[in-house]
Amino acid sequence: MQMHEWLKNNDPLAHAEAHIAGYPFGFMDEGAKKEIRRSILKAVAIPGYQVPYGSREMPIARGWGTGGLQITLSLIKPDDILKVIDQGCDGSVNAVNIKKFVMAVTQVAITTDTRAATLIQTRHRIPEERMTDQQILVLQVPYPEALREVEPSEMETRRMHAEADYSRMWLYLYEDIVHYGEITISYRYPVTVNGRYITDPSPIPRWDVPKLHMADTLFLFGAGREKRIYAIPPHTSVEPLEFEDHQFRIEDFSGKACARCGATDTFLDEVIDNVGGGRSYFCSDTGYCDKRSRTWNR
Amino acid sequence: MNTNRTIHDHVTFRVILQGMSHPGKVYLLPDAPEAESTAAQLLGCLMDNEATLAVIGDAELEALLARHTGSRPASFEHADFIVVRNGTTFGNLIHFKRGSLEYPHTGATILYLVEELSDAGNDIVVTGPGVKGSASLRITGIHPGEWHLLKEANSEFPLGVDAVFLDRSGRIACIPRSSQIGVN
Repeated sequence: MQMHEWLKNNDPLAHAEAHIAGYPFGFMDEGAKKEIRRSILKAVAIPGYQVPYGSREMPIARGWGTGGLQITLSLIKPDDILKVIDQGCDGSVNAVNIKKFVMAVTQVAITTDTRAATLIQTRHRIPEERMTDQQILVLQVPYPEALREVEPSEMETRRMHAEADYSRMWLYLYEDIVHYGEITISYRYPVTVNGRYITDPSPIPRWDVPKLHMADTLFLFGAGREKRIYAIPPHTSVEPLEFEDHQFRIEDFSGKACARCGATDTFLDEVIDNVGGGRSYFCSDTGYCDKRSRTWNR
Repeated sequence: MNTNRTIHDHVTFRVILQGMSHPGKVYLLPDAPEAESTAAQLLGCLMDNEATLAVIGDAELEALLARHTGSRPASFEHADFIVVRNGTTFGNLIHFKRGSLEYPHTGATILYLVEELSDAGNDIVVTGPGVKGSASLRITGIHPGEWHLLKEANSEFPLGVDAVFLDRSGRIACIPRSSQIGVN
């Protein structure tokens, strides 16, 4: 009966603490955070299934990372070390703005080093360095529905997921091969999670898809505009859709290296010189490139 | 007593999230105001008036916990969260919400208040998403019949219920519906 007595003698704990920058810790109201937390737990329990949730207005426009931001703000804690990247880059406008905002409403520390971060929010890339089971990667998702390409109706895609009726997705890939000799999806490559749900891995390049398979890290996906949260837990099978005679393959960078750090084992961005027309390549993951170039250029 | 409930909620949720994404592993909740309050603390970071709560066989505790967490009491057939004391649902588990194929996330979350959790034993072996190889743990204070019911409720993935176990020292372990449970 001890718990009864404690509950009788104590009022519900109030959220009456001092605000940071005029807002509660984590900016959002507690009701919003609690709903998002419940959705995250269900998303983790049903890997690859998109949990609907009431996406809130954020101080950035929908479509600019509000889904990821809401997840980040509902689970961040004061001792977190946050890294935010946009297409692999720590310094792009979207990443910097999100970083500044989260810092303002939580006062957490910021890093560009993947290894040092405890929480990483990302748009369209997974860091090159393998992440650990103590870290969480939050991905911003524009289009959470992998089947939207073949079926515009939400009711119908929901039925297809319910019945694991994915024949039209397979047909779409088959027709692609008939037309072009290969599957032409370059990013947002559909994957099967835990042998059940076909899931959109967000617009990461093919290069990053194998990193989702049997990872040590929890991946959380937030689509703010489309109001969906889904997850890929650690140590979960993630298989890109492929045929026996048309196997999934990643981008080929053979013979190319990063012009800044010399890396030959990273996802490279092609940069064309506007004056001379020459092509050079740079690591897309700037944090990793910085780390490497410090030793390479010595 | 920790006055900053907002931050405390964030820290508590991270422990629950770690638990749910690593089924069968035992984690320690952050310091509770008092030992008796850990269940209220755990539910408090998740529940508001959008969520419903049932306590099996204890209407008084149901009202107290609902008041404390700002949630609404409901019958166990309709509740989103179900608190189970004394290690048994009295066979009612089979009637808890398991969600629908279109909306499997509407399945219930069960909070078992148990005596002790330890990853030293291997009474229960868990495999599945989130588990590297297999995870084993010992749970004392739960009726052995519950495992059969839990396996039955979770036999049709993605339908099912997600279980959280909380012991008297504030340790938690989770077994979501995606896990396979082996009982030794």
